[in-house]
Formats: sequence, structure tokens, C-alpha cells
Amino acid sequence: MKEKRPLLTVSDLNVVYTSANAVVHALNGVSFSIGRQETLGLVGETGAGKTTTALSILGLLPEHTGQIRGGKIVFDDLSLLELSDVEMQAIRGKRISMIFQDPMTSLNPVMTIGEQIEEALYLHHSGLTADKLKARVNEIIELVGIGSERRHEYPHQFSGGMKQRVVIAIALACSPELLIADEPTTALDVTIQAQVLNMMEELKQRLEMSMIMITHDLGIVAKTCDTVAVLYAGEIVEFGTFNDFFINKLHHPYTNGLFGSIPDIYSEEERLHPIEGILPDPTDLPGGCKFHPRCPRVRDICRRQNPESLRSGSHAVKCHLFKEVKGYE
Amino acid sequence: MELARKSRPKARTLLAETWQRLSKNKAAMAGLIFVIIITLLALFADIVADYGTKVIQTHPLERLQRPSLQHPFGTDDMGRDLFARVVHGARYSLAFGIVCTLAAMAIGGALGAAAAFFGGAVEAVIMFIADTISCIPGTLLSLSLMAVLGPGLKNLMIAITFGGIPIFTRIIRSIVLGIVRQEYIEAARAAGVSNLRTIFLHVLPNAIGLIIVNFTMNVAGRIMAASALSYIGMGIQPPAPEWGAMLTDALKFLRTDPHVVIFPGMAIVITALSFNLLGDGLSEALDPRLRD
Repeated sequence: MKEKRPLLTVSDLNVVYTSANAVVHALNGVSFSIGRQETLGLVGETGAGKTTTALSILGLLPEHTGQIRGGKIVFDDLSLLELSDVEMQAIRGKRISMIFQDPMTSLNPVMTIGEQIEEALYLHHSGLTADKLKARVNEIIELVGIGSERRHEYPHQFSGGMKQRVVIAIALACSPELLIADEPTTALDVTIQAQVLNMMEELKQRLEMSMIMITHDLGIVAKTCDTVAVLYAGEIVEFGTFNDFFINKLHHPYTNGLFGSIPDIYSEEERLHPIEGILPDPTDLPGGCKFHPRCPRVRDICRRQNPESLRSGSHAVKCHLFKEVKGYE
Repeated sequence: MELARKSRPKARTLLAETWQRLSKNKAAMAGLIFVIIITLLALFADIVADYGTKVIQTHPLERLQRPSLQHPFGTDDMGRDLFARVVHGARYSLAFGIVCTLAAMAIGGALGAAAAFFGGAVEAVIMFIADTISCIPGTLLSLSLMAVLGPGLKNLMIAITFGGIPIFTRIIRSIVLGIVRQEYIEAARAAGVSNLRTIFLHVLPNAIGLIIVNFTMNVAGRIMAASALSYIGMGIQPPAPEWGAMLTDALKFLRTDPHVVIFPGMAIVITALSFNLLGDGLSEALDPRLRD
């Protein structure tokens, strides 16, 4: 919102995974954009395509199985899908960083955390002298709330929350413009989650980054995000600002289902209302609206025709029902 | 260039730490001491005993003597000093054991790592060849190579090295496969690390423990392979003192004069054991997770 031109624009992204006997349609025309210093929440169930979206942006889809079949990813005037491997290497870690889900496995067990942070710096700032590198490493470690004297310790000597701080430190080492956080707190317990999220929010402000927060936790979205995209079976079914999601009450039936699955302190419901059924098999997606087999408000047209995205201001919903809502077109 | 400049201070601290942990492991230190002794003896064998007069020249009057001050290991059926022969034999055995294993590991390792890292057609071709060669028994393979190349130390080493390549290709491929699928490798790539750097700085250091254990086990295996070839007359030719060849020459005296078998045999066992102990200790010392 602060600048007119978005930092990252993904348009009509189609990704498939091919194996010997099946084609998995992981992303089916995903489009969204992020402005500078904004946080986008990417919400969806396991298997909806959240991580695939992130890996596509970084060009890290599994080499022999993952294929981008169409679409564009434009990052600050660079068309990422057209860049060579070497050009992408220069962007990864420097301008776009990623935090992986599980801090237990995303650190190299035989390198000290200092060495790992130093490597991230060294890769993209080879001109720095050894002393300057060291000073910068200390600075970054302190930034994520770890004493710099612990830089000589190995990952196994840290607790889960501390490890995730290290992972964040590595991701932030080169002050990237865009940080992709793939469920950064899923592997942490709740008390630590809050600490890590607060820290990320603070660092995001301080380093003036944009962020894609991948999560299935709407609580985290409410806490951190400016805009939200809900992914279902490789499509964005609803996209909007914080207000569209958490103030307005009109949502895609799937989003309503997500909200229904969260306990609410103020209501006296005895049971939660989870969404019936499971995600459709991505090798055999249903015709029409992908959500229709699970939708409580399904109509005839939903079975026949995949809905267009209907917009009203900043809010976009991919659902036939919204044709009848005033203002959506 | 830059990579070397960068990793030098790192390597020193890693080395110092590894040494600190290794020195606490008594078995590994015993292995290390024996390996050093054997290596020194092999290097300075000419000072310990003259090759021409002590190792090769026969002394029929002194045949099959028991160990004494003059002949610490006794003498063999030609009256040659066994101690001198065992010391000179160390040269062959270490050459086969270490050099052939290193060569086999370098070639097999590069192939295996490439197969695991790149996958697809590269992997299919490499593994097809490795698996095909693995179907031929090692001794038979080395034997056929010797028949083609002709006898001689250099050809023997080529033959023995070749026998070890497919094994290392498979082992290192499976080690690397296990590591490449770890999230920290994906994380490294997400941080913009190049393929080569990923292999050498992230994959290999994590594999080093397993590689070292396999290396040390293979050293003993290569020594035995060389001995086996010598036994059937395709390896080291008499009168050169190779431990395996000495052992087979001496077998017929096992009942009457066991010392002629015991000393070369002990040399093989102790060398193999020392390498294994050292390898086990090193693999533990190199893994920071096993520290404390």
C-alpha cells in the first residue's frame, strides 16, 4: 500500500508434479501480489499448495518432478521464471529469503550457527573482510535475541525456539526485501510461537521487508498480516485485506469453514464446526468449483462451472454465491 | 581461491576440536599410534633392514629359526629374517590399503555423489554401470584385469582400485541421498548456495563420519584383496615380501613352526584393527552431535 507498484506479483501460476503414473495439479492459476513492507498471509490446508507457491517463487521445485506449466512471477521488474540458475542463486538468500517449517532439520548439524550465518553473508557479500563478517554475524545473532557468545555452538545445543531464531537470523543475514516464512511456528510450542512471531514482526518493521506468511493458523494471520490469500486445491478462493477478512463478515464458504474450526472464547458453542470431508485428490480434481463436494451451500452451477473471481474493492472471492451479493462483480 | 581463503580458519578450529575429542578415545588413540608406527616403519624400512641382504638374500643355514634377539620374529624356510620381511611388507600393504582405497573412494565417491545429487539420467547411467560391475566377484574382476594388464606393482594397484570403485559408488550414493533429502540442504539452496558449494560444504561434512568408517573397513579389505591375488601368483611376485604372499608361503609350516605364520598374520590383523579403531574414533570425533 505504501508504494503503488507491488514488490512481487504472481500471475496465473500453474504447477504440476509428475510421477510415473499420475499428474498432480498442485497450483491451478494462482495470482496475487504483495506491496513493499506488506505481509501476505497464505492460508490453507495441508496440500493446498502453500509450500509449492513458495518453492516456485524461489525456483526450488523438485527438479525432476515439479514443473511450472504457465504463469509469471515478477519480482521488482525481474521475471523470475526467465532467469538462469546462476541469476536465481544471486537472488535467493539475498533479496528473497525463506524460513522453513522445521527448525530441527533446517540447520546443518555439523556447522556452528555462527558459520551458517556467516555463510549466508559471505555468499552475497564476498567483499567483506573477515573482521567485518564476524562483526556482522554477532550483530545478527544479537538481533534475534541470542547472545553472540553462543555463535560457536552447534544446532543440537539449542532448544527448538532458539533454533528457529537462528534460522530467522540466517534468512535475515542479507536484509532481504522479501521473506517467505513457511509455517515458521508450527513446530514450536505455543508460548514460544508468540515470542518468535513478535520478534519477526519487529524485525520486519525494522528491516523494512515484505513477508509471505504461510500458515494454516488464522490466529497468526490476524496477528501479522496486511493481506490474506486463502488457497484451496491450488486455487486462491479468497483474497483481501485484513479488514476484508476479520472485520467484514462476507466470506467464501471455505473461509467460513476455516473460521468455524477455531474455538471462540466469547461464544458458548459446545462443539466446533469443522469442514466436512477432505481436500480433493489433486491427481483427480472435481469439475466445476473445486470446493463443491464439501460446500454446505452447493448449487447446481457449482458442479458444472468453475467460478470466476468476483471483486469488490480490495476483496476478491471465487464463488458463484457472490454473484448475488451487491458490489461483487 | 576465495573458497580456500574462507575455509582455512574454519578448518583449523574443526581440526583442533576433532583432535580434542579424538584424544579422549583410548581405543582410537591406540589405533592411531599403531597406524603411525606401521607408517613410519614402512617409510623407513630401508633404515630398519637392508632390502638386498636381509629381505631377499637367502641363508639356508639359518632356516626356520625361532624368535631370538638376532631375529626378533625368527626366520622363514629360506633363512630370511622375518622381522625385516614384515617391515618391508608394510610398504606393499599400506600402498594397497591406503592408496588403492583412497583412489577407489575418490572415483567412486565422485560418481556416487553425482548420481545422488543430480538424479535422473546421470544417476541411471552411473548406477547401471556400477551395478553391472558389482555383479562380477571382486577377486575375479581384479584377476581378469591383471590378466589383461600383466603383472607388476602398478597394474596390481590399478586392478585392486578398480575392484573397489563400484562399492564406493553405491555406498556414497546412498549416504548422499540420505543427506540431500534433509531440509537443511533445501535451506542452503534457498539461501543461494551453489551446487558445488552445497556438495562440498554441506553434504560431504555431514557424510564424513560414514565415509571414514567405510574407508577404514575398506583398507583392510584392499590389503586382503592384494594378498589373495599374491596367493594365486597374480600379485606381488616372490621374493618380494608381501604379507599375504608370506602367509601362503608359510602355511605348510604351520604345524611345525607356527611363528612363520603368526607374525605376518598378526601384521595383517593389527593393521586392519588399527585402521578400524581409528576410523570409529574419527567418525565419532567428527560428529558434533556425539560430543559431550
